[in-house]
Amino acid sequence: MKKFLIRRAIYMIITVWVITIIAFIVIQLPPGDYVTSLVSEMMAQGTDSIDPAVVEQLREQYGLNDPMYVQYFKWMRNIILDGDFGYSLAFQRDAREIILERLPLTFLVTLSTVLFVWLIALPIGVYSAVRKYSIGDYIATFLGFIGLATPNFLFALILMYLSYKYGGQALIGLFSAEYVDAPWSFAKFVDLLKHLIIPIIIIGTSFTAGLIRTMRANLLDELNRPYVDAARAKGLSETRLLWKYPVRYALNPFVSTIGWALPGLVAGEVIVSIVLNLPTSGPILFNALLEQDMYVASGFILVLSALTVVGTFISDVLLAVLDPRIRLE
Amino acid sequence: MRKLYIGIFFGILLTLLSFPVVAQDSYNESPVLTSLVEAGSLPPVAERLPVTPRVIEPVSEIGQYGGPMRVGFVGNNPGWGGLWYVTGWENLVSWSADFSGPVPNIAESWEISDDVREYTFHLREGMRWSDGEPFTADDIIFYIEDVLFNEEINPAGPGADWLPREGAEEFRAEKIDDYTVKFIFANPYGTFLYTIPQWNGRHITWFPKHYLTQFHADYNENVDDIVAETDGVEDWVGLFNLMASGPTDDTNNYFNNLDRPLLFPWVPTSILGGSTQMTMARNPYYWKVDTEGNQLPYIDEVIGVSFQDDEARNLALVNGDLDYIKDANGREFFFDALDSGAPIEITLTSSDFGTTNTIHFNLETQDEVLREIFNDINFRIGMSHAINREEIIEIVHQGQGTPAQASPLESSPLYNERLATQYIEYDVDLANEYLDMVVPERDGEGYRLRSDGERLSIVFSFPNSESWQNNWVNVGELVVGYWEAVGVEVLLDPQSADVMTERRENNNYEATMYTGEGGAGITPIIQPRYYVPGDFDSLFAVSWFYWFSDAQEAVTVEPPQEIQDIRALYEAVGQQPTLEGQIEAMAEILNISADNFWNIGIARPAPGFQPRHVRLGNYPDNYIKGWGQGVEKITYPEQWFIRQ
Repeated sequence: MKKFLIRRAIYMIITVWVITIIAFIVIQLPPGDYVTSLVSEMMAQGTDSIDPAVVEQLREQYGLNDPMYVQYFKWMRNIILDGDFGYSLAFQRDAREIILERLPLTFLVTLSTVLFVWLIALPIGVYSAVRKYSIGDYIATFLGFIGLATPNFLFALILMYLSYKYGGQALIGLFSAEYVDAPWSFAKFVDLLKHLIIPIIIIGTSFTAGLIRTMRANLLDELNRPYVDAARAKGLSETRLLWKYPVRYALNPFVSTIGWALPGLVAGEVIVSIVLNLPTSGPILFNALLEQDMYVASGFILVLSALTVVGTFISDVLLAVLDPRIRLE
Repeated sequence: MRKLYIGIFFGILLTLLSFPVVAQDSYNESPVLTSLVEAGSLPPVAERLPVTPRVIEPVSEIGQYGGPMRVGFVGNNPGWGGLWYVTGWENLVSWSADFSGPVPNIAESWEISDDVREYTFHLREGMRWSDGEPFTADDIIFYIEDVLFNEEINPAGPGADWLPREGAEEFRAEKIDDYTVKFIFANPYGTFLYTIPQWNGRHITWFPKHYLTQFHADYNENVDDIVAETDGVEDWVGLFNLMASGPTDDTNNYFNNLDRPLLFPWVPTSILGGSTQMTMARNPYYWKVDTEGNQLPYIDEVIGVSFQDDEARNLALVNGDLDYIKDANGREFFFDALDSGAPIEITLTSSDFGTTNTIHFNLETQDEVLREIFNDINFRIGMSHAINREEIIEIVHQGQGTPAQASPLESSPLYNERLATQYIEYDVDLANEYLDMVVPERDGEGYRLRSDGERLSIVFSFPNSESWQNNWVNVGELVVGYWEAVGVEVLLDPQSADVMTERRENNNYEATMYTGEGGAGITPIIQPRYYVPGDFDSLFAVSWFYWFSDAQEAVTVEPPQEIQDIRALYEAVGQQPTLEGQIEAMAEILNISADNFWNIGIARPAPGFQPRHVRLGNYPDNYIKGWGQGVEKITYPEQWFIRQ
């Protein structure tokens, strides 16, 4: 076990390191740099004279004239030595602050969505497996697929419009205007819960279908195993039997995919957050990529990938602990 | 004394006479500030205002104090997203609300020498920065001597967008006394007063000396200590630019620096961080009052709300959650919402454009054969006749507007009929006739052949960004069809704004489409981009602009002598001392522009629309909206108010 943990830890470090290189280079592949994007924005506003000398000086000031490998090594050195993720050119602030400010609410949305998905998908999956080909199975599957097939942004726009038309207010953002900058209070929390429902439903529905099908298929495999017959022959009640043995085995794939849930949800969250104006990391990452604000973008990708790698590691360990059939060698 | 000066003098006199003279002790202030004064943390209003505050006549009524005003913007930059045009943009002089000419703003009056080389500005005695420190001639001299002429900040020599390149080195500014400053230019500069109400004029009164000297190596020998503890800067020049939001740094970075003193009606009180909002509070030292002596602005607080997406912002406005948004997209959405009782009003704005958009063939494109074709005026004439403008107006512009080339509007003193109407008829036969003069041969599929035997195929690249409020892709699709009908293959290539910026700098485009400025009033003189070669947006050969401005990183092409001569004629317009002289000289250039037919226009612009919350008062029913006019600043947002 110890050897396994050490080996996996080394792999993790190498993986994250490779990701940093790719993240840093890929972000700079599109033509231009942050200054190009700034000039474009000024032009989009109508600016009719931008002195080329100013543009050149800006590049110099922001250190964009250095070769890419120099920029990369500076960036890595600062992260490793000082935990400094660099400087956001768009926000004119420490990139780390920007990333940290957004992570708590991102995790809140993501975790509540995971809980929502599991609370919905697991019982439905079990039901569809046990009552295979029943009306209920068909309805649950049908709804699941609708959720999977509807583009998130469209669903978001529809729910927003409905909440505006019939609820009297458009549930945009995570807080009402009066609470956005207010200190935490019970009222703010309630306000947050109200706004949280829409994003959770939107992001959640697209994931439930997949989980329902996985759960159903796994459970169907297990239900035909001889141990189920044996348990039944020994007189165990159906409910007890079901929850005690086959469902536990069928859960394995869920545990092993905990690590993937994070990037999947964050990716799924980007468009929804943009449409719903959520203060999560998705829109910031998206804008940073568009504006070529490379330190924020690379920083986010680094943090999210590191979390994913750690998540996968944890799920592997959990799996090894939970399932005696899995061997470490 | 010149006519312009007389005009302005009488303008000031009339302004003074038409307003009741306000006695010093009768100023009123917002209740928010009164409580601060009573608490002793703020001096009384009469001490905060200059001796002669600028008096603003409200658009329709004396407003009520209160707020907040909620402004929605898309993206992460509050300034560019809309707040700069509402809460900033205060220059030495400003445009009158009807765009008839410059009026006193930070400067209360001025004199101009007969040769228009010397401008003496009288500042407002007792005027203060938002932190209460006096604003004086020293602040302007600090900018000129320690920023503009500082060799470390401006290594390429003094350069600013209000200062003509020619003779920039010899420019001088003199402090006459604390409230008088004299600008002395090397050459006559008759358009100076039209230049500085614009974006170009922002830097002159932008640098609070008392605050910025701590970041300037000439004043603070320990500046490196601050550099060391500041993120993202490597030397004092970077630090200075960051803290001053200029001269080379993005002006709108001031929204990230809460300590920086400003001369604006509102100052930032929080930055856009982890949340989706930032806030601004009224500047207690703002130096304008209304006609009854109430200190402006009326609105106590501004909340900037960041959106990631236009649709959500639109929905928030019609839902009553916002008061103002800049660059609203979705005309039909807003008019429908208005009809179904949303709490909004819509103002129709006049555009300063002369044409909805302009089409440019790059006269210095890299392909030699193409370049030769583009440089033949008959090719451009033929391509213009091939365009069915009535159909574009019908399909893309909802039937509003009339066909027109890029040209000053009929209402402008610079209107030139030939420039506006030449080659405008939709006539396929005529188009073919002109094109046959240049590229007569055709291949089996009916496409024209270049002189080297290859099919004439042109890549038509333009920005696809929505922020221009345009329908360029729709126009592009139609135009490509018209050109195909006359045997010219054109490939549509809409690109992101970044890619287009990059292509400009590398002179890497064949044909492009852009905006249509230069229509209203004297804008053809101050925004000559489509009438004169060598301007920033003179896209018919942007490499000439980079040559004229001596760019180091962009691709430069030296223009032919005749083009340099035309550019020199334009530079001479600015040296004319009187407006009449300038108009006369510009009219001559517009004739040359008509002879050369550098770009192709489509149609006169239809009125724009500007939605807002119905509770936002003192918003004009109509105004000329454009970059040169300060976008929203010409409506004087400091006199907007929130109906309680």
